Amino acid sequence: MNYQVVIGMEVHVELHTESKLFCSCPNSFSSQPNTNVCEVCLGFPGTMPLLNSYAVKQALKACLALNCEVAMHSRFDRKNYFYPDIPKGYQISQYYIPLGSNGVMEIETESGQKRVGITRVHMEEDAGKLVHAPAGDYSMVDYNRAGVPLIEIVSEPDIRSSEEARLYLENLKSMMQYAGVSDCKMEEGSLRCDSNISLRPMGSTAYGSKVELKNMNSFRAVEKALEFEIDRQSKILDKGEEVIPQTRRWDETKEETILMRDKLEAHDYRCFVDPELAPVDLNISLIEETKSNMPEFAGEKIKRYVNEYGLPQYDAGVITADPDLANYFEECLQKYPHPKNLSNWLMGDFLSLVNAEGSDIKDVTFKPNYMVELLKLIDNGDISGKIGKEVLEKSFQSGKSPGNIVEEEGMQQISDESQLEEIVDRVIEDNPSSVNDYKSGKKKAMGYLVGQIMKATSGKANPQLVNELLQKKLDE
Amino acid sequence: MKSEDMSIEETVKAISNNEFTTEEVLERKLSRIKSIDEQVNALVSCNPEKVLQNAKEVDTKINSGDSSALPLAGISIACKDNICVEGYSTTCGSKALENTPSPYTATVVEKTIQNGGVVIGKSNLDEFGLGSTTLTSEYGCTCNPLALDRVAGDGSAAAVASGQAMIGIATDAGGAVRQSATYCGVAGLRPTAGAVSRYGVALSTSSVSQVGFISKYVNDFNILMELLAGFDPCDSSTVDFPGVLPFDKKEKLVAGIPEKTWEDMDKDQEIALQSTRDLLNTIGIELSSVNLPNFKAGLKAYYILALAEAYSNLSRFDGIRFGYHYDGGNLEDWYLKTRGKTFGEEAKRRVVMGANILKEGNFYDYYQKALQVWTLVKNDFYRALKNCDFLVLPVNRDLPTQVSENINFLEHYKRDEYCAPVSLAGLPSISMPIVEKDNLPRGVQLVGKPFQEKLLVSIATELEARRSYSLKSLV
Repeated sequence: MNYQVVIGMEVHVELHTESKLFCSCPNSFSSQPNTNVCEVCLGFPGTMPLLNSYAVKQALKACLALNCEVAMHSRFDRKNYFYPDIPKGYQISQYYIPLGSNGVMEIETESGQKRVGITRVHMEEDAGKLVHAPAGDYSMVDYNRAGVPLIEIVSEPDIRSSEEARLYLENLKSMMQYAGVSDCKMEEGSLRCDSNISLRPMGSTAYGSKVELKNMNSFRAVEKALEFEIDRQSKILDKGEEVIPQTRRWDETKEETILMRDKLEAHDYRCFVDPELAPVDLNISLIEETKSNMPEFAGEKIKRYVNEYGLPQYDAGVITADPDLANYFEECLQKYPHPKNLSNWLMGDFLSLVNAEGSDIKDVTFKPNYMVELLKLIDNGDISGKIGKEVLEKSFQSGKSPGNIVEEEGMQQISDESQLEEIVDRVIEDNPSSVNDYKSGKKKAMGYLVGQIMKATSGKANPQLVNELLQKKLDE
Repeated sequence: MKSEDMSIEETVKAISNNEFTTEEVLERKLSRIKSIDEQVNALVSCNPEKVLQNAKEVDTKINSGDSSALPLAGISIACKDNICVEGYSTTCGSKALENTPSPYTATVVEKTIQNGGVVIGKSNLDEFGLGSTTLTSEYGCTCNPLALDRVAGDGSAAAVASGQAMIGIATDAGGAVRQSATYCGVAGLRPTAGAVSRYGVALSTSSVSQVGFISKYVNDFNILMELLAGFDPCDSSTVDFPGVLPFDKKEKLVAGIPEKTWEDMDKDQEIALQSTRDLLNTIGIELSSVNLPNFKAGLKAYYILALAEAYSNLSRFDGIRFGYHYDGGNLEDWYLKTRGKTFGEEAKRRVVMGANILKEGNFYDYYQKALQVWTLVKNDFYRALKNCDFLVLPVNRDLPTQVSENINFLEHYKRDEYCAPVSLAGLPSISMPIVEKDNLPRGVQLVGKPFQEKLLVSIATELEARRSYSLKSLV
């Protein structure tokens, strides 16, 4: 039978802030366990939460980016439950009044543009992390993450395929990165997602029983888990059986979803307004200011790159996939207005160097001014494109400017005709058989001779000039 | 005049006149503690060496400069043991927090110390501050210095009344400060909500608890409020106001007297109210009747909030990051054993009742209703205070409980009947003894408009000078 897939996403995004949501401990990822902690985020007796106003501004940006209605007056609630990773025995969250609601996000699918509704965006504090002993006989808790500001973004069940789910996540990540809300690194847990999926017969309006999927650690895993689940659920429905509402876990090695618990035992979190926190009152001017500072998102940039710069759609997509790369591109463009040549270099050698180093674009020492310098050296004929690649690598690794490297290593292109003529003559003299081959019609021999000339000049000979000179001599 | 009988102002003056040193005053307090606290059990912990060291530091500061910069020099403070003082354990009267030194000091205590005050010890309380008898404390009951077979209500009130400390800093949710002060024959102030920082105070009822003060003399409250109240960035509920509102002495002040509010008032409490009305008359204050129609519902609303919040606020006491724990075979065992063995009966009762109140299906019938009643009660007070300057209310339903008496918990809850609604209203209140019946004080509370503590102090000072109750020399 043919089923319609109904998917909703719940995404947690860690906000990019200096400090935690309710105390002044640093919000940073790679610290020693239990070093970014204080009496407040450890829940010591007598401590009280104090709201980080920058976190509210970050959350507000996310709400506006997702076209949400913003609550001018929202509050924080306590979600009560016991687990060692929550220091107070409750998590401070926005249960009753979320900061944002009724938003919408547009994604570009193969069959055109699609709107995914955003049910709510709310702020909350992150929990700590349990570290289980290898022998399994005890566990440790690292509270560095406890109190880190999060937003939870809940979508409407508008997603209809695993591919749409991936597109939704990619777009969400891109928007949050462009807005500077979060770095959205799934591998560091700053973006985490759960998914709800159910199937229903085509044409039916009632929802089928829903399964919640957890533990998906990459967008690819989300896609695979959803595909697995679509297959699993259709087989159950095909047999005329019912899907049991459950929470299931994606097992990366087995490539299947595994039962965690039955959904029926829904937890009652006994939520009530946190009496230790004042309500969050926003004013119109903050909202207007945030709106007017909203960045250009990837979708808009792609359109502009294609229409204004004449870049191919593909190039525009690659360049805008990372906001840092798009910024790099635009910065170069100001001094080097040749978009296509620039995008070739960025997408090719530059990105492979970045990826090989595993570094972030904003951290590399090869800044846009170096890139512009390099491309100008090539365009002016000072070095060949081939040497340019070498210069890029050396500059990227050493931090020296491309001009310096060319200078120091004597990599300037040889474009002096008399100097080249001498070398051409010598190569012709040294390779009589190749010259004969050429003259007897084996035109390929020309390539060999060019290679010999380049070898003799360590690749610095101006290739165009070499071709011209050689041709002339051979045809004499 | 002996240092024991002095007010804050007199003590500070005597020290600056070199009549005695801070160290000498504190030494006398320590010897008083040594001789009497075995009977009273007001203090949970006291570190004499630390006290004397702190006192010497104050003396050094005085000798090296301007003593006016230390307006609490020589003042000994008993801090209720749910208020954090660095270096002291904050036990909250519970086994759960045994040997848990606080890593920091509460804002209100920090300010006290900066002004020259010395913490003489941590005073006894009901477990997690849940009550006003100390009968549920892990450290035994505090006995009333005026009648050792009765409770004192709160360790800091007993400490002040028995001369072990000059000032008590304590918490008042449903009335602990006000009731205990009157039980022990001293005065108690519950300040306006948001006036005094609660950062560093382990509260069970966050929404209505306030940090209050206990002293023999109501005039001390003016000094304490001036020095210790004000905005604290660490407590979101505190407000930025330039101190307590000054008191404009009007020609004619009006006292609001609630009518038909209490049907079953204790005869002696009624006598205290009548005596207060007479005294107010003699000092030229006009009496005007006011109506508080929702007052009686206040107690129930208060307890619903208190139970719900206790359930949530006590959740952090799991022995994982601090406090006492029992190892379990697994996580659930850990929780069950640790909380099962360290929490007393009343704490467990409140956690269970609180969990029930917030449960799906009960939430709207109980918790949400209580929030509505809260608003009604508050509105009553604000309406009543439009036509008068302050209100005169009863404070205690009864004499303090006999230490040996076994009373049903609901009877204990009922003792907050007169104080809890005032807590909900968030208004300032001073309680003080007025008359004496059967050798025990009976008193009233004066309830004022927000931030008008000074007006209350000025009226209470007049009453203090004219009341029939006289401060006792104690056991």
